[in-house]
Amino acid sequence: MRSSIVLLPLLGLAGASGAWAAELNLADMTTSNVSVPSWSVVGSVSPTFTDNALFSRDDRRSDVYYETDVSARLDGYLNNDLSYRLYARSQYDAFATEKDSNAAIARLGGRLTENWDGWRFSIIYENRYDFDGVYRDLAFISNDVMGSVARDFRVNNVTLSPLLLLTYRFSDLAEARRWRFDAVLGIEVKLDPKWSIVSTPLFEAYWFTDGLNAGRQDQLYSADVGLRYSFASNLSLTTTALYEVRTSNVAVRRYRDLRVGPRLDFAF
Amino acid sequence: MMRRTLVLMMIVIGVAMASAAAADPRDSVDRGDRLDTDALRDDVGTNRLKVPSHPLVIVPPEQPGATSNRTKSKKSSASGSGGH
Repeated sequence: MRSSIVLLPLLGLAGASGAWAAELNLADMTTSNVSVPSWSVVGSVSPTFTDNALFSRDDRRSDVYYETDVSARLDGYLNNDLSYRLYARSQYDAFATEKDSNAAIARLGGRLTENWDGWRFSIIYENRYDFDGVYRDLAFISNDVMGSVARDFRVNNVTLSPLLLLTYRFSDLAEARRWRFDAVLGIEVKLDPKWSIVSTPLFEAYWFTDGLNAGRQDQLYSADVGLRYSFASNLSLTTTALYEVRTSNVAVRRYRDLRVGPRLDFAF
Repeated sequence: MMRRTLVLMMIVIGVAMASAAAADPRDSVDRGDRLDTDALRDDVGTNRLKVPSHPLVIVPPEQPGATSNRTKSKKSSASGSGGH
């Protein structure tokens, strides 16, 4: 029954865009400056080893888990510099042994991005369903409102992609309501057309506002380094070693975690 | 008899307390936040991929003089932002 809650908006989205496409007039398209919206599917699959499957301070257990993350997206332009995206996204973690850590999220969202002199300013709304287990029990439903700024810098064979993101989460579960700030730096150093060294260091700060989490403040520091092989422009394999530390003013919520594994990224 | 009832009640209360501890809503929230952080990292990887032109996408004909600016804008914003 609860899965139908997720499926209904998906069907509505697909139906609406189908109707939209049906209303397109080819004669209009030859004179319009606004491009036709396009569908795409992007995602990643990553079997990963972790030395802290429960991400616990005291109860550290090693395990292997699969994470899949797949999005269906509809992208288009409202004018030369203003783009939009509608998306549905499914992501889950499935652990080999520590089943209590299994989790899944279904997301439906929309994004508007203004391109201003190379900087990308975005506002994003996301309706999301968090599950315990792999889509087993619905844990809570949230609505995220986000704002971000990002840009790509290219110097010779190096690409730097900084991103700042601020989120507030409205939720039917008091403990889930919070502010979050992200600072991410994507780094790619091309060794040749196929091979790259990549890294995505990030910092996150959480300010929880309600329920048992009221007053809780977390900070997350993460650093990784990986080697990427690109099979094609839309398919790559990256093997990464990642170290992550969470600090918190609630001592039991602190943890550190080492993860190693390959990740397949795809787009079509 | 009284003693057995007391032991039984203690067991029931113990199991109930263990279930309550296992169902701490903060654990669900933390698992979701961990997936969010991974999603953000995934976005950096997938945003660098180029989506191939789909055969079902209808491309409007190029317009001389009117397309250069638009092409430039699209290229500069081809990769996603905001992690989605």
